[in-house]
Amino acid sequence: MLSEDILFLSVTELSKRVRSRQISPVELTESYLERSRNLGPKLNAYATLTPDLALKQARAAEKEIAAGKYRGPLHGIPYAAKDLLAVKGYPTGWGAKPYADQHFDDDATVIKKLEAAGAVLLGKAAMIELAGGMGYRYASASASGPAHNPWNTDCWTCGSSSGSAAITGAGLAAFTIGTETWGSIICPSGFSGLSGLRPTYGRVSRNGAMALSYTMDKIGPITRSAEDCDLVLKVISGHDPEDMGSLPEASAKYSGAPELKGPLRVGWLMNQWKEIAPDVNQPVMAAREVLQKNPGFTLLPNIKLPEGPWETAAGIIISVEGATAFRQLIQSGRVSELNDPLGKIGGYMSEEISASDFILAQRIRLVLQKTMEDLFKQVDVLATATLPVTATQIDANLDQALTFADPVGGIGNICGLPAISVPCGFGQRGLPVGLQFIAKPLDDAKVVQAARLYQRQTDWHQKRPKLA
Amino acid sequence: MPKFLLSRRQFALGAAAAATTALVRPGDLLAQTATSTVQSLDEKTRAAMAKLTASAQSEVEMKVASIFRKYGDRLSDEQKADIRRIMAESQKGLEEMRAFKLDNGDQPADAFRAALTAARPEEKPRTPKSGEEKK
Repeated sequence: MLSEDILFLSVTELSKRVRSRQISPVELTESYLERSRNLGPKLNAYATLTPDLALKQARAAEKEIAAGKYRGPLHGIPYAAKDLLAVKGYPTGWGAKPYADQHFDDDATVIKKLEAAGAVLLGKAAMIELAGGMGYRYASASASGPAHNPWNTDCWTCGSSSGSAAITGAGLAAFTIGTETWGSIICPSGFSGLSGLRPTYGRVSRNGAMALSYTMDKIGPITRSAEDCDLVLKVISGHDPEDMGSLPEASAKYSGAPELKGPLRVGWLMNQWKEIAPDVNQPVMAAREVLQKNPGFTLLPNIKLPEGPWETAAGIIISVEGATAFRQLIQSGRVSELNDPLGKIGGYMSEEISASDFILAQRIRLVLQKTMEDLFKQVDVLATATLPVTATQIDANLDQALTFADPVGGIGNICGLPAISVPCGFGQRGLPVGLQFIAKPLDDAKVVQAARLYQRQTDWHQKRPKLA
Repeated sequence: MPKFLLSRRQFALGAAAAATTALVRPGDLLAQTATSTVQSLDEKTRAAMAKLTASAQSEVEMKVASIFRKYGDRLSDEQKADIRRIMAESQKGLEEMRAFKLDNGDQPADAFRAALTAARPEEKPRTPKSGEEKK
């Protein structure tokens, strides 16, 4: 079996070794599978392992590479996908008991794209039930149980891509695929010391993915570096006529983040977090200093987000779209089979939101889009702490533990803005702290450029947790 | 993590107001209950309701009544109390959103497009299946 030193390598490094045949895709797959079998259950990281499929794909990759048919940087690289992406022949349970035995006849578009790139699917990552669409108060809101944070197993990874973060964070796969409607890639990446990219809305097809919010769901990578996010997004992006939210190919296809030709204008947000925990503030301020001293960045220190009812509007849109997506589950009463006390009743309340309020939220959304367009004339990217706190306790009541407003999360998701979270240090109890960059729609390359430049000067992304 | 309803965080921030019973009529929303959990939730409901206008309170009561009429037989006393609290606490955010100034011509972000092909310019023409008449 391969050593931890290998299993924690970035995709960028692993692919070099796979291509030069220093590492066998089969051995790499077997090693990740063994580690996943040993550590996965302790972290509640997986919904399902797919060892037969993984070994078949790995053997095929090995044979092709040996024959000189190299498909690209993901060829022979093992990954896991959030359990809301359909994979033919395996259950796709959406993290929820009522769907535990659900099967689909076709793979999700993202799974097909990764297969075409030669990537190896190790398994389906655990997740918060229905991606949190009916609401949740506890980390245990998952058919797989609460996902434990590899940095401190008394704590949570955050949701809803909770298993995806546990898998990448614990070195159980080279990368994972997560999804975000509001915070579900950025928060798990922040809490778990990972590099996670939320792409521009419409860049990655949701065909074959569970729908929670038709106008806000996004799919993106959770990895060990910004460079890895870049590699994965290049593969999974692109137009798909099966997804009505999919952008035209010329916009949807991500060609990668080129090297910077001039400094990036970084707007440091002054009004994102009303309060920030001291053990988070210290590493975030140190990260700010790194940006300030780097000639690749021009730091604009006093940028403010517009004020308005953005979070309420975003919440209404998610709630109404979610109530429609899960109408049958709500009206049949099978929401009572969900784990979380809030999940059991959330759908009933979402149904009471009026059509008038929903349309109002959509009108406010367009005003906000225009306002943000103006803000992005001043800056290339916005930057702030990913979260004002470190990971919560595994059994915490999230209504009490996460009581802060999150305007940039609401704005970023309602406007479909790309964002990336990268690790920037540690707080108390050895828990990671994250820094996030946000850009205007289709400027995914800029958030990657900013994060990559930051990671060239720091080594937080190369740290790894000590797991028994 | 996706937010529930209006914003879970706003709920939490909004729940700290002092408790009052002045604006809640007996027999309306708050049934007398024995459990301390329900009582605690009801106190929070009263606090949130006290901060609302009379029309906003009526709206909360109407929505709660609608939920209970449709689904009440499935819900425990504690779940009912939780629903009353959340609906009351989320109303403030809703009122703030409704106060946001918009002009008549401010369109919604999910505008309808009459031509699907214009919305999806990359879509290739559908190939007729065998036996299907070409148009």
